[in-house]
Amino acid sequence: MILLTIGLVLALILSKLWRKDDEQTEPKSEDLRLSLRLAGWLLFFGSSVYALGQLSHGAVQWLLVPLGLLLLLQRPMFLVQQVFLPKGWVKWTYRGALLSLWLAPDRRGQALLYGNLALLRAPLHHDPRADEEYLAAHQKKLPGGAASLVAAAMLLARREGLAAAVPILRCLDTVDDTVKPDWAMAVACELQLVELIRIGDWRKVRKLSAECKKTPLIEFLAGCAQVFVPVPEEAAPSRDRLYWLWLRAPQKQHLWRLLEQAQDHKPTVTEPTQNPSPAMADQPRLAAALRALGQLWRREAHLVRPEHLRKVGELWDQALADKETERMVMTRALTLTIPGSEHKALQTLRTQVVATLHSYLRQGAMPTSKLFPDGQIPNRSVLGEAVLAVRAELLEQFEAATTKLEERTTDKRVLPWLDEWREWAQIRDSYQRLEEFGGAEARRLGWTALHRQANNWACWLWNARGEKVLANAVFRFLLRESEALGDDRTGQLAKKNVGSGL
Amino acid sequence: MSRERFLENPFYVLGVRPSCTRAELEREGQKLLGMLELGMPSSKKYQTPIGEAERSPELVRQAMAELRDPHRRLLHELWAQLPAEILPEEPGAAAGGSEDGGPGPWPDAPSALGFGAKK
Repeated sequence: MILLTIGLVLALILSKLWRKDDEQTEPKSEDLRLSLRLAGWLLFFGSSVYALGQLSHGAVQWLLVPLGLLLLLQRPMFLVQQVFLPKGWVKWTYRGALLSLWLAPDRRGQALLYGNLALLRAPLHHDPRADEEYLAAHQKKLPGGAASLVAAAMLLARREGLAAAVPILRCLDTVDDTVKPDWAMAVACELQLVELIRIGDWRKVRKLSAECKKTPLIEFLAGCAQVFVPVPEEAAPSRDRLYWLWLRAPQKQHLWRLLEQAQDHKPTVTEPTQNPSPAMADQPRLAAALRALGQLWRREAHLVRPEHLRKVGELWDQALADKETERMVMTRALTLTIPGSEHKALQTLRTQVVATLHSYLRQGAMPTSKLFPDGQIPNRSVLGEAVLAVRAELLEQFEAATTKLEERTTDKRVLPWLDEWREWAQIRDSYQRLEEFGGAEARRLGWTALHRQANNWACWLWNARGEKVLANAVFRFLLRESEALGDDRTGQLAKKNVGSGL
Repeated sequence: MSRERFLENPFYVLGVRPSCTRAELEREGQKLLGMLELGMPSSKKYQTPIGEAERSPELVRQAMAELRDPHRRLLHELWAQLPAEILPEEPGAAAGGSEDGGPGPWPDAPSALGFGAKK
């Protein structure tokens, strides 16, 4: 009889839980969560009393019921985190998380994120396509909270690489805190850090890891970054501290190499590169310029210093104006029986050099403010021409993206929630690149177009589409930008829109 | 066109110096095409100042065609002033390392740290 009663109560609870799921009725769902928790504890005490009574008759198995309930109430994610996820059982992880997170907000999004983490740990012999389809099908039904977004970014990373997912993850910074579970944010942070390590940008690893919620992996990477990119006012962790952080981190076998490098690291002293080496001073100017450009292409863009790039520009300006270069081109033109074509050849060479530097700068790793600290861009130099061309191109790209958004808003063309996020991520990325490359001036140029288009789009999302999480994130971003740029008019509007909530 | 100015320069593809004659170019091109057809391993790669590159019959034919036009050849000559050997590292920049002092790029980091497809 008691068993039947317990079963009935559980069935009632579960049926209520399934029906209420994912509806954005926060106060009601809060009440429900509290009631469920209370009911759970009552069940626990009731079943404990009954099980203890049965002990005198030798029926020990009844103890399993209160123990199971206790586990469910205290460590609801035990099975998911310790068994299903490490084993890479995607469907079990998803379903288990869905059930275990019965009291959590955005539980479908969180369950999907757990499912994605399990997919990454699936055994090698396992064909992941069925699991991927399973998760993608559930992803389409989601309302689009922060956990859902991280899950979608992970699926995207699996298909297109981590670099494709990073712009979406960056958008999480303006999502409302009430729909941002801490653990999901930590996963998002880890993903971004791993991408930075992939490209070897330890300066950004240091900056980002300081802003993240701490997990064992993030703490270890932050420790390594403190060693690799030392700051005078902050002491780097000792060898023992690094070892301790490594012990706590996951994937130890893969992080061992990093630990060794951090423990043995000695700060490098960069030698000044202003004076050319004796061998370089003797060679023709054209060869010196080619050598400098070749050195540039041999390195990752974010590892190049502004003085290197300035030096390349100077060497090319000298080489193109050099009489010896001109003489050499003239001689070769005569040998090739095309006399008189030397000026055209030199002009084409200059255009090609500008295009090559333009293609290099487009990667956006070198802001104009660092390249020309005095703010004066010499438009007669090859480097100056390349910088101006990149800035114009970035602005053009940004305006094209915002115009596309405006047209879609006017035509009321609806996209699935993830595609809406991707479009926003692309616009933010494009705006950030423009700002990073062109500085405050370019930021102001982009802001006017961004504010009008993005605000109209977000209003449409909020009013007509019910995509309130995304709309609110856009309003928050617009508020942050208007405050940073001191634009009071747009700031007041953004503040009002943010105040509308979710 | 960026890195390709070095990597696909016809003089590096054919493995000849910019001062060579038209006849030398043709001879070297035909020799490389023959070697590639026979699948000789020594013909499959070539050196440039910024690293090694893959040689294919299409690339060789394209290089020969580019150098037959004297105007285009003059430009390619200007870009091929450096010898076809990898440039030495500049002083102060450790090989493969970052100037920040970090260990440089780690392409397998996503899969090694559990955030990418396993290899």
